[in-house]
Amino acid sequence: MLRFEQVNKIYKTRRDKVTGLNNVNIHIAQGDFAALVGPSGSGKTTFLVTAGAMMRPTSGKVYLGGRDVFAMKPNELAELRLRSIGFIFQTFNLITYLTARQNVMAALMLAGKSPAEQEDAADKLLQKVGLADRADHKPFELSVGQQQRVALARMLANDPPLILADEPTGNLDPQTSADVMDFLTALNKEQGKTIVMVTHSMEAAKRAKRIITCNNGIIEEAR
Amino acid sequence: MTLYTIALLELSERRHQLTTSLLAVTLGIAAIVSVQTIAMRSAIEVAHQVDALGANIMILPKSATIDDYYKADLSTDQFTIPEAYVDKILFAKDEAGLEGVDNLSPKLSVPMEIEGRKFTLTGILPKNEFMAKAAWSGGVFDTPTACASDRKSIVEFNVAERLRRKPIDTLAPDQCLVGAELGEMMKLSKGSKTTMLGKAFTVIEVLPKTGTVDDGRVFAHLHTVQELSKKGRVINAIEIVGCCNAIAGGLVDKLNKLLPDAKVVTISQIVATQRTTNQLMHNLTYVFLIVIILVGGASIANYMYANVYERRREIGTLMALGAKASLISKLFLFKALVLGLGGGILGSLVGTAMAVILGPKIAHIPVMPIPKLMVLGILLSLVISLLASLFPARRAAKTDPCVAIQEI
Ligand SMILES: Nc1ncnc2c1ncn2[C@@H]1O[C@H](COP(=O)(O)OP(=O)(O)OP(=O)(O)O)[C@@H](O)[C@H]1O
Ligand SMILES: [Mg+2]
Repeated sequence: MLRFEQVNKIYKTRRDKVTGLNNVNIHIAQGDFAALVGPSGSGKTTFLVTAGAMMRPTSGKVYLGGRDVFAMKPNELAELRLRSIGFIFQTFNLITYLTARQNVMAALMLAGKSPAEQEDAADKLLQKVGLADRADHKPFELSVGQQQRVALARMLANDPPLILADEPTGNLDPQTSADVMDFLTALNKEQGKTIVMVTHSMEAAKRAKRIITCNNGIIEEAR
Repeated sequence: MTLYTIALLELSERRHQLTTSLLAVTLGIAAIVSVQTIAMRSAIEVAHQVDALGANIMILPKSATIDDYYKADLSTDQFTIPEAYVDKILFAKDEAGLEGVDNLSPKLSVPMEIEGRKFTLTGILPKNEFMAKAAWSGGVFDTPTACASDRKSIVEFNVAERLRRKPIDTLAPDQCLVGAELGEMMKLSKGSKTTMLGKAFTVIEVLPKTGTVDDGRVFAHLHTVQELSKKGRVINAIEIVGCCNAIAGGLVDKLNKLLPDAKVVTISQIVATQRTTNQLMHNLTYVFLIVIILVGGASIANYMYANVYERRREIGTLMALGAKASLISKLFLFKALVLGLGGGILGSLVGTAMAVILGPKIAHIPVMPIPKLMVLGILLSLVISLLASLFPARRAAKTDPCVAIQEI
């Protein structure tokens, strides 16, 4: 499903160079559920945005479904992000002036769905994450846990086979965290979605099938 | 949900910034539309006045201008010339070879009131008075066919007005003709009686509408007006219809020599000064055009750049969700379109309102809206707004999707 081959990422700032990823070789199989753990600043988010076709590595190759991701044209990359990748941001990244429903509809709009289809599908997705009654609220009118659920609904909008989640439980209380983990586990088990999840919580990591560690840009299998 | 609803929702969330930028565009377009509206109306008005006048040479007091004549505010004595000038011209017609004077009409205008409302009373000389003038030898009112056609080429008159331009045959001391508007306003019709400057008059005709100052005037016998105004045998102006060939052949020079104390001007000269004023206003629109392009364009570009920067994380998020670069630039160009359209419509409305309100005060002409100009104003605003947003939109489209993960 997802394969990294000798991937390096070096951030060049004005003063010095920072290593984001250091010769990463890893394979995430279809239907896998991997937890990525490691200290702050070790390169976890860097790994995730590279896997999500959002950031070009300095060197090396990333394959997704057998295709060389960064050899694609910009519009093909956009299409790949739209159809194949569901990204959950550490900070949710909801659009502030859109309601919960409209946030989900925006993702459906990008896939070319008609407004009627969008509304229908958005309501179903919000129902699924248990937020049907808050569909008309804007993000700032929602609790952090509710915002996270809107982000989950939006991520699922175009039914992506690969889910990349950056600390999906980072900002949540234990109960809500457990709910989100249940949700992701179900997606993996019942729908066969491939999931890579960054987390600081060992409890959450234990729910995954596989734990990967990240240290100074070096990514290794933990067990 | 469409791209456009997203853009509109975003615009409505940031009203303050939007208002400032919109204001700059609105004011710029308003300035252009108002000045251009006044300039165009003024040009139309000049053409209209020339047309209504029918005459192509004017003899005026030295110190008067054509404006004074039109405003009919000629109540001071320095704005008069002796009526004897008319006789001089008629004499000279035979003796000094002053050919080509086809028609002449001396006029004296004085302010007066009818039932408390202020109007202008203009004295004219009917045809039979010319007959009475000793030296008249005929031919003044006969238009030679050779000249008729070329005169029409200077001034395109319409049939109704030509009818009105036919000299009145007779006019008794207590008879008057009233302009169409005045007649309507004061409810005067053929046969009605009215009092002006303490004298009773009978209306013998209500003149057809001409769209000029004449519509608001009353015409009576020159000598009656002279008596009522107690000014003696004076007039404000002599309107002359001259044959064009004769004008080209030095008729104006001859008249100047004949009447050294008066000002002889041709309509083309009069129109030339009016045209200079109009040209000035027209040029002023170019100045405004440059200012609006610079200020309005800069303001919009600034708004757009700020907007792109402010929304970069959101743009990154949309891209991470799968938005193509072209969709992002469309999003911003659509915002520009809304801004341009809003500024254009508001500016055209404000500009037209300004022209209608200020036009009569600064250009002394009635100003009506010019729809074509309003449309042009909107188009101009759209073009400026879109051009100013091209680079910001391109920058937006080039946003790296990974800004979505950066904290702000
Ligand atoms: N845009 C950037 N420019 C320069 N350096 C960067 C940039 N983004 C990340 N880095 C650096 O790259 C390294 C890895 O960052 P990354 O965000 O991947 O860490 P992380 O493991 O996700 O940390 P955290 O757990 O705090 O989210 C860090 O040292 C960071 O400072
Ligand atoms: Mg991170």
